[in-house]
Amino acid sequence: MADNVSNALTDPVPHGVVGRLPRALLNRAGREVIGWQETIRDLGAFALITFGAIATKFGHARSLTRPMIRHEIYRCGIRLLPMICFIGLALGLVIIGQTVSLLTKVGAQNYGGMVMVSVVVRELGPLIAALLVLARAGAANVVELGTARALGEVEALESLGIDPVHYLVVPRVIGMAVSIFGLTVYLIVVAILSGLLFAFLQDVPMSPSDYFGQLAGALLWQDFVLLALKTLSFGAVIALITSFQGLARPLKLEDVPAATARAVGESVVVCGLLDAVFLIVYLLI
Amino acid sequence: MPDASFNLAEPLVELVDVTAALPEADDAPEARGVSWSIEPGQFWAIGGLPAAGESCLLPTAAGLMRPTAGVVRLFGRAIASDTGETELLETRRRIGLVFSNGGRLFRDQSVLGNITIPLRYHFDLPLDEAESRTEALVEMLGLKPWLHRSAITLPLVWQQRTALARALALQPEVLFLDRPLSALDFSHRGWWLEFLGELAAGLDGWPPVTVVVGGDSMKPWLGVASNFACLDEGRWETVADPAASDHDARDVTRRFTRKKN
Repeated sequence: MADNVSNALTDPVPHGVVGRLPRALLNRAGREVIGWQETIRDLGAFALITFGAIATKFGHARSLTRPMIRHEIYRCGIRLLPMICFIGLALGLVIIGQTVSLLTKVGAQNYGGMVMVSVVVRELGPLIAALLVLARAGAANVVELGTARALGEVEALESLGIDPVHYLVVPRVIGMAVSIFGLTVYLIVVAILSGLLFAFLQDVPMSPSDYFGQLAGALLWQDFVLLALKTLSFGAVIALITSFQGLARPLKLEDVPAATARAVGESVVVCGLLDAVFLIVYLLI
Repeated sequence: MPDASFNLAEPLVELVDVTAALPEADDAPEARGVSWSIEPGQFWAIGGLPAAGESCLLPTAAGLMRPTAGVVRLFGRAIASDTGETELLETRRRIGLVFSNGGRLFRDQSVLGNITIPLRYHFDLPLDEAESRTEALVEMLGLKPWLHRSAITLPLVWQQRTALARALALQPEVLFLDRPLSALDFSHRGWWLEFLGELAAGLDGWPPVTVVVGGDSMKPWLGVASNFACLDEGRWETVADPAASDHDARDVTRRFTRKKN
């Protein structure tokens, strides 16, 4: 028995297995890389077509597209307001609760406002609003468009001379971008107010005027510009990716769930990368 | 019945040695070597089994799909593989296309919404104005009782009629219909044959519309259509005398003898 064990440990692994395993892994990795490269290229082309449609057909068919944009803002923004207010409330309590107690211990409670601005305004606010919209409206977007594609409604639009990108994608891009911007503003306001409420309830030695003074002192004008840019780009990216996965490829009905999962994954990754870009910009200013 | 030879004007649609196939399916049937000229005032009936390649030929002739080989000319302009989509969208406004099996209506719209979409999009009309413009069409097609119902909750025969109204909303010069008689009962078939015949001849206040219908058989269109052709397993054949043609019999035989994979 001992001999068998020692033989097993010392015997060389058969050449075939050694040769096959890395090659299979390399092939798999290669396929993944090529797949990602193709997706990025197609997505880039789709984004250019969409922005082209926004630029060239902005005023076209207003009576039809404006109600659709309003509907998107209702679906992705107004309907999510209660949820975003709840998250803002929790976020304010958690951040002020945790940071103020820590800062008080080291006598640095004057930095509460700065922490609030850094964490909520610059980072978590836009990201949470984007992820919430992705989960509630972005996934639904893929299902709607994927089903429309699978049932031939897109060809029906084309047969009527209607540009599917202008009719189906542009209202979603504008609606989602505006919604994420609006929701982020509400989230930040609610988080700031709930932080103040927590400070008041916990008898933190910080008056409302101190608190708002710290916030005002920490906020730069660039914060407002970058917040708008970040939230609008999150909205545009989520709308583009979910529309791309629903529309741009021929789908059968049974492909729609897989396309939805793909769109959610890609949106999270791209939003994360965009967030990193904005973080670098924040660090540079 | 419209006269097949009354107009010698330039063809509205011309196909020269065209091969048409669905791009996403390698094993899908294709129509091969189609040379076909559709002239104003004609009423074409195309016969062929469901897998004969007709489902890709009609969208190709209507400019919805690009041909895999050959040349398609719409109103004298060739559609090449690099023809811009915007240019094609403009051309498609002059062509109506009614899909089979309920006509691919927009599920999130009512019957009225479906019919008025082309007018609202191309002429930027508010809904009430688009509704008043389509009133006569809705009346003519008997769709008034269904107007505010969700389109996909309608019985299939009325969905098909809604698709016809949607395709006619822009008053196209050529109308393509893919299997319009499938899934229709006897009374509805009669209505469609009569209406399309009148449409080709010129309805009240409408110029004559050139009509192309596809279907399993050419026989229902005898006495209505002026020109006949069939797709025999993807091969295009014009039929001079459809009453004497054995095409339907061949198709019936093929239907029963075709082996299932």
